[in-house]
Parts: sequence; C-alpha cells; structure tokens
Amino acid sequence: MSAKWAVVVFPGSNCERDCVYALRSVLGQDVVEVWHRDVLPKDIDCVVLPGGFSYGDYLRTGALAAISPVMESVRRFADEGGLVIGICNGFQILTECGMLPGTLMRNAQRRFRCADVHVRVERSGTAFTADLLAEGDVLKLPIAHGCGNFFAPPELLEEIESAGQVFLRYCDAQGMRAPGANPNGSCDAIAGITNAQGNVLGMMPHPERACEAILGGTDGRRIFLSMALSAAAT
Amino acid sequence: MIRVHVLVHLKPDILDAESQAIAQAVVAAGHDTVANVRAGRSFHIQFNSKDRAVVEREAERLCREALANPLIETWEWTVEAR
Repeated sequence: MSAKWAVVVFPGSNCERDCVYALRSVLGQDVVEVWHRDVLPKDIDCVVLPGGFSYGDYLRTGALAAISPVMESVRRFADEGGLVIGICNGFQILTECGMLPGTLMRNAQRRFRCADVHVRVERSGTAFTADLLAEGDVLKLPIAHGCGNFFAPPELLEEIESAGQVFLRYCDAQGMRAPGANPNGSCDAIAGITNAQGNVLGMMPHPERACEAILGGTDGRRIFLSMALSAAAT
Repeated sequence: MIRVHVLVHLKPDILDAESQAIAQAVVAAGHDTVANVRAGRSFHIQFNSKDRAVVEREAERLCREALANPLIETWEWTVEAR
C-alpha cells in the first residue's frame, strides 16, 4: 500500500534522510521533502516531522520550529484530518505548537539516552495501528534524546489518560511497567501520545531506525504501514 | 524605541535538572556556600514602537506565545528604557 508522504525539513533536522530512506527505499512509499519555509504540497496523505535539533534547540526544543512558516500548513492539514507523525524533535515541535498536549522536558537523569527500548501499544483501532498493531503489542525501538521527559500537570495528564490519548508507554520486554524501563522520567512512562481526534501522533522512539532487520529490528515498519493503510482507507 | 527585559524561569514545582546540575557542580568545585541555584533565561528586547501601551501588550503576548512555555514556565518583564 503506497501513500504520498511529506517529510518536513527544518534547519537542524538530522533524521529526515533516515525517514525518507525508510519510507521510500524500504517501504516503497512516495516521498517528498518539504523545506520549512514552504507549504505542504497538495495531495499529501501523511506528514512526518523528523527528529534532530531544529534551530539548534534554541529557546526550547522545538519552540522555533513550531512558529516556522510550514507549520501553518501542517496544522491546516491536521485540522482536515490528515495524518501527522512527529518523531523525537518532531514530537517536541507538536507539543510546542499546541497540536499535542503536554511538553518534553530534559531527561530526569540529565543524560542523553541512546538505546533500544521497549514500548507497549496502548490502543488498537487507531490510524497508527490499522490492523497491523493491537493494544498490548510490545515494540522494540531505538531512542536518542536529551529532552524526552514527557510532562503534563496532573489535571492535564488525567485528561490525556482518560481520553485514551496515550499511544505508547515505556515497558520491559514483557510489556510490563517497570521503574528501570522508563528511560527519561516521563509522567506515566509515556513514550507517545495522539491528539484527541487521533490523527496526530508524537513519539520519542525512532520508528524510521527500526525498519530493517540488519539495523536491529523491523517494528518501526508497522507504524508507518499502518498510516499508509489508514490513509488509503479514507 | 522601547526596550523590555524579560526573565523566564521554570515554575518552582517543576523538576529543574539544569539548575540541580549547576548547583551540584559548583558545590563540588569548592563553592560550598552555594545552597541553591535557579537558572533561567534573560532577554533584552527592543521594540520599534514608541507607544508604551502597545509595547506592554506585545511583550506579554510574546512571552506567552514564544519566549516561555506557560505549562512549565513563569515570566516577568520590565520596561527598561526608552
């Protein structure tokens, strides 16, 4: 199933090529790169905000990218129901521009974490699971971040939880919550959330780095292919 | 031209890993009279308007929409010069 993808590139993005490679060369998708000063082309099915250090992480991670020109068209695309995935810095950008709730703070242990982690899928039947993923599935995905500590004040956290917006949670290899399995101190071990409408996902782990067995795993494919399937179904 | 000085800090109940690291490091380096550190960001912003009311309104909006993240940070600003 091939969809048309836009990978947005900000000054300081550094995972856009990994995303383009995984989507185009591994998964056979149609991909264009979109510079942050441009607008999204028409007829796009899915948008990726890739990882990196947009604007050198100046001010706050993702804060300057959130007010860059392209984001207006990304917001419009999402408002019309388009699928958006923000990965790592892309997640930070989505919280900064208010398309996702909460914020990503410096890792509680004050260390940049670069490792494979396990995350549990918390919801079935979303645009990001299609029929390739189900609640309870455990994925092994790499993380690489210094500011991945998801935070929301208690009342907002409760809102996110009760609305079923938590999409991924850090866990051990068996899918169980464990203190050692939370790599950055995130509230409720949250690794990824969606918006209330369920068409915008932000996640700290990198699915684009987990699309080939030779690179350590293929669990990331299932998220991208779910998006392609969901886009085709609409 | 009106100049505004903005200070942004994490709210007191938010984990401030950077300030903790600074405090620990300076104490370890021998500055053992240091009891606590609270780091923040400082901005000196020059506005191209001479209308103080306009500048004050814009300074507040700038803080809320860009310079601070209202979820975790507080801000304060003062008009420092004309």
